[in-house]
Amino acid sequence: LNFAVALHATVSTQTRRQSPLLLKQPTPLRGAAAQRPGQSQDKPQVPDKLFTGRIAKWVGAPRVTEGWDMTKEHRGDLMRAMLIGLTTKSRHSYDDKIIRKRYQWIKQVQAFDTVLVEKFGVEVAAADRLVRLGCRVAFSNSPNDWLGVSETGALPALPSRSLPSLAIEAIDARDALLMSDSVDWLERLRSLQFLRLRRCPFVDDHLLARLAARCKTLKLLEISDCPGITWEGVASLWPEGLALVPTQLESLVPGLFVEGVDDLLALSVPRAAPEADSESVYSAELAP
Amino acid sequence: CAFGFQQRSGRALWQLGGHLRRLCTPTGARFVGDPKRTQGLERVSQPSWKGIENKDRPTYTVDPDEDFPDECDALVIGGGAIGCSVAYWLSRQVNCNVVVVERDPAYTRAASPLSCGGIRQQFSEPENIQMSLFGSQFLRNIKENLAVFDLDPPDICYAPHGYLVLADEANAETLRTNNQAQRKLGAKVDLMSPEKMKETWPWLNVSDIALGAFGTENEGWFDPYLFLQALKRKAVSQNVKFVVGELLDFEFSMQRYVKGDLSFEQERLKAALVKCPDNLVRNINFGVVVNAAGPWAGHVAHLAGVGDFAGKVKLPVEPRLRYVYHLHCKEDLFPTPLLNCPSGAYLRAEGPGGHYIAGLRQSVFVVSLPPHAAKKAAAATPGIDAPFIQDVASGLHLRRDGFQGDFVTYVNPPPPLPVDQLSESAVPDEPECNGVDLEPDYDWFDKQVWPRLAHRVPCMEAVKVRNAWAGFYDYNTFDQNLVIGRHPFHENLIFCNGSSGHGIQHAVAIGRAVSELVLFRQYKTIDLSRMSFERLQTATRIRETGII
Repeated sequence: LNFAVALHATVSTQTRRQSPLLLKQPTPLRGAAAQRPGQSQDKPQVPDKLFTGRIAKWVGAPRVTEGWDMTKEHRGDLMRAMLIGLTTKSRHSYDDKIIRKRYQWIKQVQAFDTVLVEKFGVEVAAADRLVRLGCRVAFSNSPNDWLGVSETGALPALPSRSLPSLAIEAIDARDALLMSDSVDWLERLRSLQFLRLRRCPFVDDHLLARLAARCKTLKLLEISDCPGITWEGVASLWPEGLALVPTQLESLVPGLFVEGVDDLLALSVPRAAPEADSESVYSAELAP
Repeated sequence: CAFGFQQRSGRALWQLGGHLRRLCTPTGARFVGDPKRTQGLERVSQPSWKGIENKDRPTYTVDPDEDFPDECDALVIGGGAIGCSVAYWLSRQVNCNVVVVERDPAYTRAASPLSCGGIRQQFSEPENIQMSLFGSQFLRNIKENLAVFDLDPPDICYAPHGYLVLADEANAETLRTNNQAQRKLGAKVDLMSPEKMKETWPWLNVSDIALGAFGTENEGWFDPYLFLQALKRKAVSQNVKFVVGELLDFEFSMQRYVKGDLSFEQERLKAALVKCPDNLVRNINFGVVVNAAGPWAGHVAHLAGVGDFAGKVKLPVEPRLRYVYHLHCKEDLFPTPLLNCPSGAYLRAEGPGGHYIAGLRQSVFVVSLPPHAAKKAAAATPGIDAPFIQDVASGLHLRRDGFQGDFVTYVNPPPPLPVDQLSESAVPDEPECNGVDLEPDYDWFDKQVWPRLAHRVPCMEAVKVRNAWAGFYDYNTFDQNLVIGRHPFHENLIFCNGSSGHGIQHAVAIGRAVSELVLFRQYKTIDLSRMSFERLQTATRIRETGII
């Protein structure tokens, strides 16, 4: 009950406002404008008769401090219902809101941005976007240097202008947040050879189908542990895609020999060493 | 306003007819319950669907029920893919009451679950291309669009593979023109020469083919029943009321329009009489009614007086039967070992093309034979990369189903050329359809499908029919394209019928278009004003050329 009364008090003081029936007095001219010749301060135009009936009561109304103002009870009930609704009943949880915000951020980052491309060139712009999504990127001039977000969360030092000689050769997208729209960036890279999609939560059949259709310079594609892909996505990589997918089964399963892998190993870009991948769920189980 | 500036051509003509209107209904009776209607009157000719008995508009006693929605803002007749899509878009954009009336909640004879569920952008009309692009974008993000809070996001088993449309010399030029139109609208479709097709798919017979068009993106197939369920679930979560009942008739009210000296009276659709499963008839008053009845849309339009007192032009939609066959085709050129390693990895051959699928729990790896061996093996059977083949000249459709060497095929006989001299119902080789029976005909496969199949894919001479089913097309006998828009006489009746086999892929776009018609009275996303009901009155055909 005290709660309700407190609400009433806030409501009544806040809603007491000046009635529009009162004519506004014009503000007096100050400074240089006041001293201009031929212009005197206007007299406030107060009409002869004021409508005093309701206004006088309103302007001079006392503050509600004690007692129960029965006329405002409905408004108080509304306020109380609103407050209860805000705190208890919600159509979507707060987790849902946070997830939704994150999802929208990812969509925004991986959407193709022509302004960025004009400023930095396709390769550097793509590197910036991919790095923000959690990938590591290797350029053609220094293939052993992977540029990615550091442990502290700092973005790497990418070139600040367009360098036409640079080309991305390898992308290591372990645990990255790539979605199907990011293929818009990948298809414009002129010499992308190595793409590693491992444990990517948003990689689905659609992304694989787009990759197969658009990325023609790929030599190696790894899709492991991506929960969103199904057999249909793998099937869409046929037949060119067959040569792309590495056979890491050999390194994981002792004694297994798969034909046709040898020509895939002859590459200038070193793969991110799979033996050193300590984040793999299975490396602990399979280590002898 | 009755004399507004919108599409009033039909109504204006009707109004100018004035008292001549009375000649159209012999006794001048106008609404249900008017005894003048049946006095000395010969029966109005109706299409005779077995199972739906001929009626001459008897009166019904309406039984009230508290739980039954007796009024709504928008009534959707038919709860198939298009009906659920309309309900979803309407309830998504505005907080209005939407009621969907569906007589068979198990969808045993509905067109949606019995279709093959393919989506493609390879059409010749720009509206169809745009609707498909919109639909494919929606399906790509379906986990986002149709997710209901606290339930698993929907999965429609979407397989992203392109369509391959094959054209012989007669159709090659049309295919080229269509391809340009598709590319202009943003569809990614590549033209392929017969040599290129032979190289990519050695098992395909391209000896009589001049040109092929292969869609590289935004095409594929999915499970239409799962799609329907996802739409329905999302609509229900947005407070759409689904009512089980069969539409018996409409109720009309006489509306009087006055301007100055001129005045005329007109029947206005007021309520729908619905027969519920407990055999009681109830009425639903509506503001707007959407005809999404699929193959039986012509009957629903007839109940509203379209073709009778609401204008002489009928809605030319009727059910047509299509048989779909599930085939198995596999030649054992290579043994299929199943290698199971102690660590949990497995390896198995996939088809005779020398492809193997290997997996280790969630990891998926694909390995293949060296190129020379693979080529030798791949010449025989269609493999995993088989596209959805559509042969325009013969009307054959063929697609892969699953990974075990199964295929699904059907024949959609195209209307014979030339377009202008076509009579509306003279299409050869159509199975007989009575609107009720859904029994597949295996002789039809031997006579119609197998010759076309064996000619196109030679290894399918020895194919085995594993299964078959039959489904209805909501076939537009006039020009086999969608009829969408308001009726010129009945302002509150909106059509979205006659997709003739493309309803499932255009359902999303059609639903959005109808919701925009209801809310804004104009199209906002895709302009479908060319496909209005008025083209039936002016006899303007919008027919797909070079596409089946």
